[in-house]
Amino acid sequence: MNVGSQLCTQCGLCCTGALHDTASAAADEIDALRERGMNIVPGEKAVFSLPCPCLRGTSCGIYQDRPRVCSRYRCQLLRDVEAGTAEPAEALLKVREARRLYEAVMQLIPPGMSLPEVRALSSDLRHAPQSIAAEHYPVLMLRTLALMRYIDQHFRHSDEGPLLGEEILTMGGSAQPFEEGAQEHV
Amino acid sequence: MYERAVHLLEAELGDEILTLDPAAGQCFGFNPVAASIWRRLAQPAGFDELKQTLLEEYDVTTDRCTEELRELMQVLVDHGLVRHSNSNSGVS
Repeated sequence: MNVGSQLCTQCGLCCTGALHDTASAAADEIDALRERGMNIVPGEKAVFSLPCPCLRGTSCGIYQDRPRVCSRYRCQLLRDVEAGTAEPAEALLKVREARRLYEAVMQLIPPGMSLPEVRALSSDLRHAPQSIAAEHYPVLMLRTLALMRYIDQHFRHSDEGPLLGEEILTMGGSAQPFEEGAQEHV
Repeated sequence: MYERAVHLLEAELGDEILTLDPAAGQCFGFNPVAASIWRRLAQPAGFDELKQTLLEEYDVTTDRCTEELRELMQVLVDHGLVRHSNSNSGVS
């Protein structure tokens, strides 16, 4: 198993809807994807909704017959590993952190609700949907934003644009202003 | 002295902290330096104490640390996250 496969089979987040709401469905794949239980959204360019119903844990349940978009897709983290600009061990730590953030969101949402649906919820904390306990709503919003920020930082391509817009005001600036660790100073 | 002015929900995000002010619905990201200061402000602290926290944690000159910490504290105060009182003679 190559490094990329190891990374992907411990991640699976692109199938969960953590990175995108939908994925492209080629015209000649649509019938087969429907038979697999995927929700096809018709249009000039048809898509299927995420999360994918064929996801099993963190792996694909139809790997040999997966949609072509899935075999083509590489998240930024995988691209970086394959290009040699990120260490596999470091990438794996990022996958684990992203999985932790994902699980933290999933703990708070009712069964059947998807990540794209969570992202579409109102950020107005006074308008919690009935299916989510009002006292959990601020925590859910925070965890969702944390996941989206992490996905933007490490998994989404820059040309895809960020999931998050201007929702977060960064204190101290976005850059690392000081070097960490060393104790010596003037 | 500086002290936290609001209760924020917090989520660890790598070496950053993401926070949400549940009363205002506003979300704030704290970069690693701001996160260090926010954690330190779990207890009220003077400017010099905050500066010492950063000097112990980061490789930075005292002058630069002073300058950037002053800017950061002003931003935190301006956004209502931190309260500043003059009950201590630390640099402000």
